[in-house]
Amino acid sequence: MDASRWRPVSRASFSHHRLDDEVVVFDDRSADTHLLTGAAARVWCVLLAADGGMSEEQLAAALSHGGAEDNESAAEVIRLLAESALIEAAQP
Amino acid sequence: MIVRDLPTRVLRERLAPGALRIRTGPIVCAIATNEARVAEGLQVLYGNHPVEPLEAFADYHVRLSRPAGLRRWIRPQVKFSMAAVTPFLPLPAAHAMAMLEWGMNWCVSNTYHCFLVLHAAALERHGRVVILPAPPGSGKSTLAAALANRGWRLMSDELTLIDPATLAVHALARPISLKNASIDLMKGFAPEAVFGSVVRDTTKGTVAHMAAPPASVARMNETALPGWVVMPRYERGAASTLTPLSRGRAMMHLVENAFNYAIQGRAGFDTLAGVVRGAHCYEYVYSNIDDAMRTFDRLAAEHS
Repeated sequence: MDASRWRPVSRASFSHHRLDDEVVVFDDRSADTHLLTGAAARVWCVLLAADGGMSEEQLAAALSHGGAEDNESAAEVIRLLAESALIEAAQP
Repeated sequence: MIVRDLPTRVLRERLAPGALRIRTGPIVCAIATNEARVAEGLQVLYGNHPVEPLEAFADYHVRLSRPAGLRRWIRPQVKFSMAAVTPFLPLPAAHAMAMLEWGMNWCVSNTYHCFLVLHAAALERHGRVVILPAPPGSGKSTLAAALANRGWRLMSDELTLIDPATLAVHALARPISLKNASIDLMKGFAPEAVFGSVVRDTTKGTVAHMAAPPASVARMNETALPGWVVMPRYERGAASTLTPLSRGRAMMHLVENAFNYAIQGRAGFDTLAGVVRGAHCYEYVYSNIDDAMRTFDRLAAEHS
């Protein structure tokens, strides 16, 4: 991934519910429903709370603080969330 | 007045022009047919259901009729129609009552969008509903039929209606569709239950319907909130195993089994999140119906 910062897509595009330590997300654009578990759920929640997006390194640190995840896991989670069109690169 | 109160002659006279209106929970269906099998089937399977007045509003106007041409008389067939729509190919006339059931399911699952409609059984005990979402062949209907005869109120066998505004489950209390080996299993398990005719060689195999217990029909206007979401799976020889399921995964199962989720959109999403938030969620594998009853008894006792 060559983007420096990541953020959720426009909040008008989705709705989400936290169900215990998982997150379900409804994408209004595609009408798809996504289940986020584990690291993906934590990254999503962290990004929702952040202002202006977060870098991959910051997300890895947040995951590590929450559950001993490493940089590669953050990269994989970012890739999966981006492929699902739930997050986008933040404009500098 | 209930269906059983109508003498056979009167029932058939009302059916011919579509003047028979039967209520199943929030839905009134006006039925038109000249098929004697359907009249007999209605007396057996809907005997305790209310007959609405002739002038009452009907949600659906359905008709079972013979197609024009040779199939009217030679190896006769029947077709199902709702208003101007004929959703199925004609079937043998012997399948008429089963076709009516399938047709009424089609009406609700394709058009009743004021509720979120799940492909699931629903039964109530102590004021809470167990929702059993499952694809065909999972053993859902067999389980529902057994539970309905062991202290659970049948709300629905096939279609679970959820009000998005309140999350309340609304009952239909319609007959339970049983297939193949489940028919004899249930006749032995619940000898007091009422069964319709056995119909062979349908697209679903051998089919018979079990009437909803009278107590379930009498209470069909009572709604209740979800208490459990249980994904059942029949597996020959398997030990009865109830496994907790995360609410997120349970919700995804409900999404997969919601007929009108795409139409409901975000409202459906919010509805299902509300359902699983208020429910205990499980996967359940079983092979023995008595074991299953004990499992659900424990479930009801633990969370009542």
